[in-house]
Amino acid sequence: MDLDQFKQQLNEKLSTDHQGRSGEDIAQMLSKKTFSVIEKLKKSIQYEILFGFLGMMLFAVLAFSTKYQSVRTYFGVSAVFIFVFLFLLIYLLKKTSELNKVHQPVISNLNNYVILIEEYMKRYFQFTMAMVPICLFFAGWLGYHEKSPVPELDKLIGKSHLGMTVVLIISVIYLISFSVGMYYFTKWYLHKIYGKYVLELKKCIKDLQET
Amino acid sequence: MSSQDHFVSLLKTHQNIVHKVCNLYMDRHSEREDLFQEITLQAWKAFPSFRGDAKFSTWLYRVALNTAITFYRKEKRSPQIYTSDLLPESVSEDGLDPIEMQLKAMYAAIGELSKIDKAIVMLYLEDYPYQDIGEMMGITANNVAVKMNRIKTKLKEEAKKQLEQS
Repeated sequence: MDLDQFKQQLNEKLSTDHQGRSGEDIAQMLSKKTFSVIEKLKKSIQYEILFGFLGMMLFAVLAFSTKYQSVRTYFGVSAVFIFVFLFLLIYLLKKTSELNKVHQPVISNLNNYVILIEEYMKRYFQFTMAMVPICLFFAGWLGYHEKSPVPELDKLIGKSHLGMTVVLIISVIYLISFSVGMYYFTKWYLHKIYGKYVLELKKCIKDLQET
Repeated sequence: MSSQDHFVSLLKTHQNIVHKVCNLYMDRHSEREDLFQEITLQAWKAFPSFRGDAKFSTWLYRVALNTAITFYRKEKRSPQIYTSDLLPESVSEDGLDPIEMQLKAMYAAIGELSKIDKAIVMLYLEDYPYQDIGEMMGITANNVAVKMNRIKTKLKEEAKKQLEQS
């Protein structure tokens, strides 16, 4: 019993086991949403652009409305940073759209998918990891150099009867825990969304390259 | 005729190709529907790249296989199971026709193949020469021949196993 023996029957079975679609059915499908991972990435980037824009506006408002110099500098710099980052996201969105070429040979298409998703995961991870210490230390540095006192903060430290050293130790422990937590959370999050899928694609590439 | 009308007309004529790919890669009706829609959309998006120097069927095979192989399933679903409802009506669990039992076993064996092997088998069943299969998959014709021999052996053994189990 081998494949050639059933070639015709299998071919017939595969091609006849369905209900034919009318032209109207097919035309209707063209306006529906797609499930492809490229579209998923595009949607993620579009959301990031939207939330980035909203965040930038919010930060700008905060920067202009606060009376504290440190808060103004922090949110002002962050708003400018997001503004620059938005251009990068738009560029990434354009590149992602261009890569959606399903008419290529299977191996090229798979390689493109893997390169794109891995690049996205790498950049996302690098950006998050770089932002955590930058934001925390920038905030700490600005807070330390704040000229006008922040009464709420002074009251909090005064009420808890903690010395400056203890406050500093608690802050450092918080910074380290937050950074370590973010590191593992980002890794887990990216793996959860794309990790298994990329492994599956890589397995397909390996299968194809096997001689 | 508008570009959309032209595409719809071509796809309608060649829809068997899309159904074949859906039947081979998905076992449940709803999953096949999703994949059919996805292939249709991807083909429509890629349609401007179809220059007509190749056959539409070959181009559509390439789009359909690429889409099926990279298809992203959102929900976690149980593994693919090839059931007897995929087989001709004359084959039942206690069907006695040995040829049809063998056909059922072979179909189940194909269902056990990897995504890449399924694509190669599908093109082989369509009688595409190794050279064309290689071009579509992005590998050499020799590599296709080697893979095809290996797949045939695998299918023979798996079908035998399936037959013994039934």
